[in-house]
Amino acid sequence: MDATLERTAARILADHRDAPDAAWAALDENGLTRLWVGEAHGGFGMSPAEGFGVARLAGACALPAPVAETLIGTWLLTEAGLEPPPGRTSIFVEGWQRGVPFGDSADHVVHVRDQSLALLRGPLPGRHAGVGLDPLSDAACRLTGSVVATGDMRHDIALPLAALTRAAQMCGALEAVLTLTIGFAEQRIQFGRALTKFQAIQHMLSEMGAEVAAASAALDAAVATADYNAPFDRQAVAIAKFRAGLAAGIVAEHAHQIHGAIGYTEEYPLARLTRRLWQWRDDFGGESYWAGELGSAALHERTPLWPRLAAAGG
Amino acid sequence: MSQFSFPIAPETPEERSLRSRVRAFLEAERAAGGFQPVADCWVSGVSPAFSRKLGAMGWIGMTWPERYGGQALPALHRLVVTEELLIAGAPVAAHWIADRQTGAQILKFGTEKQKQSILPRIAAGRCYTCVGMSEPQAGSDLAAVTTKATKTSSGWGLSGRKIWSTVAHISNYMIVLARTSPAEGKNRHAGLSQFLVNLTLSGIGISGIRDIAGHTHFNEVVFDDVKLTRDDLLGEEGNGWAQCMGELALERSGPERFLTTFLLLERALAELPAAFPPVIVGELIARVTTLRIMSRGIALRLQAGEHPDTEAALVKQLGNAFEKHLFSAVRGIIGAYPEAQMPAGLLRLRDEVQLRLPASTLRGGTTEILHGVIARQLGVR
Repeated sequence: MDATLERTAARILADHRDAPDAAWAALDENGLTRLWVGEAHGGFGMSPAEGFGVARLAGACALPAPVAETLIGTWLLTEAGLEPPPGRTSIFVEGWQRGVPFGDSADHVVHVRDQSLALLRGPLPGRHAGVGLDPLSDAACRLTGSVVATGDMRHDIALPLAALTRAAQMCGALEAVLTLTIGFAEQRIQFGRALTKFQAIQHMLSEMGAEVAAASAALDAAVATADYNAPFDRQAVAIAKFRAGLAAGIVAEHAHQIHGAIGYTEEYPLARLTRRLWQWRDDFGGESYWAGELGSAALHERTPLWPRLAAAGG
Repeated sequence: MSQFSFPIAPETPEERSLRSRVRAFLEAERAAGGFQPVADCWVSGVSPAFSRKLGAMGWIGMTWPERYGGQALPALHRLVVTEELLIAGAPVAAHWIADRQTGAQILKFGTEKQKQSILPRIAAGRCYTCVGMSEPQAGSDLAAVTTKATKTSSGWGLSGRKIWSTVAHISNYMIVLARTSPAEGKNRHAGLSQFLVNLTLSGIGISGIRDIAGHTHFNEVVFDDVKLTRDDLLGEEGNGWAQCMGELALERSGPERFLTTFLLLERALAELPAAFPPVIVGELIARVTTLRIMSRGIALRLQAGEHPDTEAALVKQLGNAFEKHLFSAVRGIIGAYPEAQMPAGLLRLRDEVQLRLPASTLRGGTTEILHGVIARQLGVR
């Protein structure tokens, strides 16, 4: 990710840690929610990696605002040759969602059915669950609203784009959970020692570190293949979403175990992140879905696996 | 953003063409009866004749300068070759350690004479080397080594005992980690040095140790006042620990940490194509591809002169876990059928892998040691 963009986004998110509306407004003002708007519609012509970088940073603070959804929605609209509207945009990919995330505060919703797309006016009826409240899924709003525009996308990109964006958000949240847990383990004294002095705790932290590293490497490799003018590399996306989902399970489990009861409270910031990890890993295809897609493609050929893997590159 | 870094490097056309050449060579060798594929081939498959053939193809020491027998090729070219050799289960154990780490150490720390006399022979597949780190009382606690090198009028006198040295029995040289001065108080990493020891010198005894599979690939090596010259000191006196850690990054980050059992999966898929649920195969693909991404990133960083020691530990850790997962998945599939219905060759391979698997999380740093390396990088140790 570009260093200046990264600094700007990180500063905004840190400055408005407990004020999601202000964070949204500052990100939007700086164009950070519109990095995937095409140049024909006034976009900046940045590489796709920049938008994934913003999604990752927003994921690291579990920002309750549709940053990722707006990024995705504007890419889909551009792909269909439509002008992305200003403001908050959410998405509804038919067949993959039960409701519209942040629909109750969205100015618009991009409704995708296969390669067709409709832009609806928001906000939508229903309640967005927010963070720290039941149910786990925040996609609680019903899909209604008048149609503003319709179009067709050149490529079938909605699912892989949304899945890879969730993987980016997860990688941010994974790193944040690791940092939070290390900080806690350094401070928490039991038996007269900090938790970090216990080898059992060090080993759990090391496993968390390994998972974060693996998820991040798979994400970077998939992001490097992203191209505005081509369909997604489905295999790279599948691997990234699978690896982030696998890491999410292990990292969240260890983090809660190390934190003990305090991490299980609504007040403490851990669950804000782990709830998102548990939700995002199931959004737009969970590990089994993407592993199934990878496996089916490989088994279909009835040829050795390795030449396929080697040809797909590392 | 992350504290670990793995640069992304998509495969180049040159790498792709090299890969096809290696594959064609291996297929021809296999067809001509040149080798039988084996699991864990970088430890178990010793064939000096095969190593010489690879040397003649230019596939050993390929990243080294041309004047030392190499071809000055990028690190990722070597990675392509090693991946294909492991997947094929080719008998590469004789030269593997020399190509992977000893050659690099000599290139970095050796005298000009050592480089000129040893490296071209390694590259030709005619000179083999082994690791001299562990001792009977110094395994995971490597800094507890007691092998000692004492200064003499003409060089050094080396006495002590190294153990678990894979391929020592066919090796020409061993890099020995020895104490050259006492530890400085609590700092046991001080006072250690590396020596490049010619294993034909008098006073050296090498005896094989049979492993649980009945193979003799590792050895105990005894040094009884072996006379070394000043030039046999590798690198700097007292810098042995740091040099060792650099060597371990080469040792831990390669595809031999996640591709040694892949041929079991391929064999089972070929024999029982309908038995594998796509989700199981897909998970293996996703995990191994992530490891390849990480391993390639480390190769690039090593080439750039960086020290991705922790990243290497991560690859070994995740790679070992992947191999155990692969075995358990394949064993589960095979186990759904009565054994009498299963091809004998497949069961033999499964059993061979089972017997080799326990070594993967011991050699090159145990799981527990790697956890410690990673925890230190995270700042909690």
